[in-house]
Formats: sequence, C-alpha cells, structure tokens
Amino acid sequence: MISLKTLIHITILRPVVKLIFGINIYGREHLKGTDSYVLIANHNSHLDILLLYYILPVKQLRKTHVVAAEEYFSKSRVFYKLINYLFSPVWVRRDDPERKKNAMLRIRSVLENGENIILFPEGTRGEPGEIQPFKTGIGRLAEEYKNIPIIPVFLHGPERVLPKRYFLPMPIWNNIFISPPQLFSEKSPEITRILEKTINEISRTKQVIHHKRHRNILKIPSTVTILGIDGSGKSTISRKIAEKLSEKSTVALITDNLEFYEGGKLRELQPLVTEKVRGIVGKYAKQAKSLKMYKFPKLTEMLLRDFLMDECRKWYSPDMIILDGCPLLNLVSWAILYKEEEFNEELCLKALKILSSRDQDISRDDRIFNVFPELRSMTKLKLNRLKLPESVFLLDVDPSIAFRRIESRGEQRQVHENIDKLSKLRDAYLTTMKVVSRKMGVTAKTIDGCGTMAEILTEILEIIKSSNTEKKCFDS
Amino acid sequence: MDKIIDDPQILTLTAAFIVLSLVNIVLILSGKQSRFRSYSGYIWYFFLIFLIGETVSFYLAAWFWGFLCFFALREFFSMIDFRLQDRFGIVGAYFSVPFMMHFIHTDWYNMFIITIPVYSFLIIPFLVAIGGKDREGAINSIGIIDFGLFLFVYCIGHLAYLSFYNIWMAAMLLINVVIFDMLAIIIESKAGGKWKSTVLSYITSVPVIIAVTLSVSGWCLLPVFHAVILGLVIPAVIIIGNYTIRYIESDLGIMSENLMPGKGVIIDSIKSLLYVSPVVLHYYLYFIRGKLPVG
Repeated sequence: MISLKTLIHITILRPVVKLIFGINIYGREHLKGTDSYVLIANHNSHLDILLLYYILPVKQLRKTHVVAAEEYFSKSRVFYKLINYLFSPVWVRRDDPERKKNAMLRIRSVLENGENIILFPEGTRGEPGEIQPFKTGIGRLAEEYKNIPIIPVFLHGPERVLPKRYFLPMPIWNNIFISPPQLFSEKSPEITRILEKTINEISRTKQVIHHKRHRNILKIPSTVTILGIDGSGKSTISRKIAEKLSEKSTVALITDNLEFYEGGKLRELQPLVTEKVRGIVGKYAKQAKSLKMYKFPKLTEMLLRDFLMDECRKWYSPDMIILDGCPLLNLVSWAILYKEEEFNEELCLKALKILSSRDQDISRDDRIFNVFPELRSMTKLKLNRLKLPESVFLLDVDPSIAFRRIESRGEQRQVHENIDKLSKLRDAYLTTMKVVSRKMGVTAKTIDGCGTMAEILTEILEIIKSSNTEKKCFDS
Repeated sequence: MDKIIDDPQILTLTAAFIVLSLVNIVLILSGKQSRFRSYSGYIWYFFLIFLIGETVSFYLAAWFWGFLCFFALREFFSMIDFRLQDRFGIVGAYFSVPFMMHFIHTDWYNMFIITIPVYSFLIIPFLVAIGGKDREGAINSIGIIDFGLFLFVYCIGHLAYLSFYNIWMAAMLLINVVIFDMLAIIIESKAGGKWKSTVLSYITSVPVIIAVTLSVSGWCLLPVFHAVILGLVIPAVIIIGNYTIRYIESDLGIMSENLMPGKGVIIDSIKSLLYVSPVVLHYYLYFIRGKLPVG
C-alpha cells in the first residue's frame, strides 16, 4: 500500500530534483540491507533535505524523520505544514531548553520504533563549502543505541546550488557520497570525532574536486566604527584616523559623504549612485520636525549607508573602511528614543541578532516583534543583513558639553539634539557597547571624549594596530 | 503509427541508428570505448527528436532540443569554477535557451542569429555586475559563462535550426558525425601517433561520408555536387572541432577514464557536433536553400 506522501515523493519531488539539479550517487549499496539507521550529513543548503530523501529506498520514505529547527521553518505557516507533511520532521527549538529535551525524547522514541533519523550534526547551515565542527548530540545518540548503525553522507554541490544567504537556486549537478554503515562501541566524544573525520575525509577525495581557477584570496576590508552622540567630535576623529591610517594603505571613510584616502591624502573618486541618493535622504532627515517624521528617512539613510559598504568594497576595494556611526549599532541604540521603558540589554542583543541576520534562535512570535513592528517588516523585506563592524570605539562625552558644541556650530538643530535626548542616547550607546563586546565578539572600547584630540587619536590607533597584528598572526 | 511504418525514410533512419548502436556496443564490449563514452544513448535521443519533428510537430521537437542544450549547459556549469555571486549571470544564460528555441520554431532567423552574440552577451555581464561583490575575477566569470552559452546553446541551436529546415539534412549530419567518431576510435586504437591517426581517419572517413551523403541526398534534396563537397568538408571540420574541444576538456578535467554523469558525459558525446553544425547550416542556407526548384 503506497501512501499519498510516498506517491508525491516518487512522482513529483524526485523527478523534479533529478531533472533540474542532476544527482550522482556513489555507494548506494550501503543503504541496502540495513533497516533502521541514522543518516548524518554535512549541511550547507536547504536542498540537503531533498537530496537525502532522494537516496532513501522507497520503503523507508514513510519511516524516516529529519531533525529540523522549528523556529526557522515556522516563519511561514503554509511552508511549515508542507514540510511537516512531506518529511515528518522531529522539530527542535534551539532557544528553549525544555523543548530541546522533548525533541531528544522524540528522537529516542523514533529510533526505538525501528525508524530512521536524518540528522545534521553541524547544527546549522555553514558557510558554503565549509564543514563546521560537529555538535555532540550525535555521539551521545550513538553511544546510547549501540546496535543502530550510523551512515555518514557527504553532499557535494548544494553549497553551489543554493548556498546560505542566496535565494535563487541554480541547476548544477550534485554528488552524494554514501559511506558504509558504522557501529560504535566508543565513548560519545570519540564517536563524534570519528564521524567528523569520516565526512571530512570524503570531502577531500578525488571525485569531489572540480575545476579550480587561480584566484587571489579575497581581501575583505576590516571595518572600524567610531560611535558617539552628536557633538562628541566623532566626525573629526574619524577623519583624522582615516588620514593617519591611509599613509600605508587605502582607507574609505563613510561619514556624511564618502571619502577615499590614499597616501595620507584625499583622493578624487568616481561618484556612486548610492552615495548620491544617501546624501539626498540624509538632508531630508535632518530637516525633520518630529521624531516620528525623522524615523523613516533616517532608517533609509542607515540602510543605504550599510549598502554603501558593499558598494565601496565592490568598486574601490579599500584595505579598511572607517564608519562614522555604524548603521547596525545606531539603529539599535536609537530604539531608546522611541521605546525607552522597553530598552535593556536583552532586547538590545535580540535586536542586534535580528538586524545582522543571526536570528536562528529567535522565533517568529518573539515579543520583540510586537514592541518594534519595524523589525518584522525589515526581516520580511530581507533588509536584516546589516554588517557588524570588527572594532567599535565609543567617544564618551558628557551630554551638556556635546550640546554646547552643537550650539556653537550655529546650524539648525535636529530633532534629537537636546540635553535630555542626548543623555538617553548616551546610555543606549553604553548598553550597546556592553552587549557587543560581551556577546558578539567585537573589539569594543569606550574612550573618554573630553581628552585632547592627540590623546584620543593615539589610543584608538594603538588598539587598531594591535588588533591588526593579531589578525595577521592568525592568518599565517 | 501507420504514418511511421509506411514512411520509408523513418524506417531507414531507424535501421541506420540500430546498426550504429550495434557497432557502438561491439566497440564497448571489445574494450575500445569507455562505457560512458557511449553514443547509443544520445543518438536515440536525437532519433526521438527527429521522429517527433517529422510525425508530430516541430514545436514539440524544439522543446527536446532545448532540453539537450540545458543538460549540456548544466554539465558545463557544474564543472567550471564560478564565484557564488555570479549566479544571476548563470541563470541568465539558462534563460536564453527557451528564447533560442522560440526563434527557431517560429523561423525568425535574424533574431536566432543575434540573440546570443548580441543580447545574451550584453545582458549577462550586466547581471554579473549586479550580483557582483568583489571586483576580482569578473572578466573571467563573464568569459566562462559566455563561452559555455556559445558552445552549448548557440552551436547546438544551429543543428536544431538545420533540423527545422530539413530534418533529413540534420539526420544525415548526425549519422556522418557518429560514423566519423567510431572510425576515429577504431583507427586511434590501431595506429598510435596523433598526426598519423588524424590523417588516416580523414582519409578513411571521406569515402564513407560521401557515400552516406549521396545515398540520402534524394531525401535531403541535395544535389550530387554538394553532397561530394559536404563529404569532404564535414570530416575536416569535425577534426578541427574535436581537436579544440579536447583541449578544453583537458582543462576541465574530462578524461575518458573518469567520465561520470555530470562530469563530462554529454559534453564528450556531443563534442564532434559543436563545430560542424554551424558550418553545415550556413552551407545549406547559402548554397542549397533557395537555389532549388522545390524545398
């Protein structure tokens, strides 16, 4: 008796996958003869699940369950139901320890019923073509069920067909390498190590290697951000730093306008369209009469500013980008002006994670989306790809001094430029700095902005230099 | 069904293809040919196209030509090293296939001729530039995508166009190409040296190809003089094409020992067609079509 689910798999999914993305299977015989097993594979793409279901014998289709992250797939209800029907997954929630335990219980019950499990021991999709260290769960499972074989599978191709952060699948051949079933009598860390080694070994075999062209290692510019409330002197400082650093390398400085420094001097550049648009939007934002009117233009300006970093890398490829105010950190800190009572470290961390698309462990119905509905729409529009800088410096200035400096400029004041709001912003920046340095692994340093220019400059330059040398040691 | 059985042309074509497949199987069994370098699979795919084009409609046959282009192109893109950011350009390359096939079956020759060298070659760099994140390697990527598109869609498209004008001409060309390939395999295994075997295979294949061309010239509406000329030209162009594509294959890592689906099977099978089909199409258009009282 063939169920509808099996029929859909055989008549629709398999032919479509085969026809659009070709599939080569090496070692299919290893799947025959074993009745209940755990399939483990490297995880690079959403296509992985389809490919692993493609190699299963027809009889096993109904008896196989894939372990999948609920908070990720539950973002669309129809999609969730479809996945639930086709692959009958064991849902895991990575953010909830209680439910994590439940998932483990369900995996156990599946295995005890003599059914199969598909597991991605890397936990989440990695960068294209890289195998991350395995999580320990698979080792514990293998130690517990010594009689159930584990079949390591290496998938080659999905990382090019549909890599992380790309939405457009491309027809490219996929190779699936199935290695013989393994039974273990070792302890769990040892098992995890062996399995990781097996998959890494297949990834280095001859069949996997395709045509490679000579290519210089991509130069990703390191980004330095100077944060601070208005009037803290961050624009002046960042320009000075750019001039100083550009003596030996090329530096792009993104402030109110884009500047490019080489050999210690400002260089003329071909103008960019993004830059022009940003200038217009920025001017419009400065004229806003109220915080409400200020929000949307400023948000657009910040997103364009972030996009400008990509453009900068694409057209000028500088060694270093210096940002006067980081879009990601600014957006998060500015939340305090709108919802002061909600702002705390936890919310700050969540917002940072969502905006920099590291939100795998944040579910769709989290409270933060109700507090800031903008976050939901930004996630939906895929605008949550803001970049996290490598080092952040906060120029800490007393709001009253900053206010005096702003007044002395004699320009028209912006909406948020009064002592009350500036001091709120200062608190927000300090919280953000705390979160960024502790939880996100960024070099962050708060510097007293009341010192002389030379002092501040030497302090910042020293930190940048030391972090750069560290990086070089790491590279070699 | 009756139409097929009564048609002497289709019966002859079937017979010819069966003989070619048998020779192919003998070659494989005697170890002269790799299992994956088998022609019998792909000549029956061509047979299917010709059969559909002759008996059902050319519209349907154009779809099968499109699939062939798609599979060849997909194999090429699987083997090259592209940057992940080039995917828009590659998808653009895939999208030119249906356009080409549309222009073929609506007989819009001018558009067919310029689609790839003008519009695709202008649009693909644009798409690559949109998706580009680093400026390094852009020219390489555009070159690779354009080259694959040119070889596996433009050149095969010429054969498809030839089959649209005159299915028997295309069938004749295909049979000639397969015969030449098999002769070349036999001669290569007997006579070692590269130049020696090349010259030998040209000399031996010319009379065979002239004979085949003459014998089907009635169906192709091909004058005897042109049949002889084509018999001389086809093997020469195949040799030039084979030489070039083999050089490219060696860079891609396609070797007869490691042929696998997705690793050069299609490219290796159709490599002899790539150079010869544009030449024969233009020969046909310039010298034969329009100069005949009928056709």
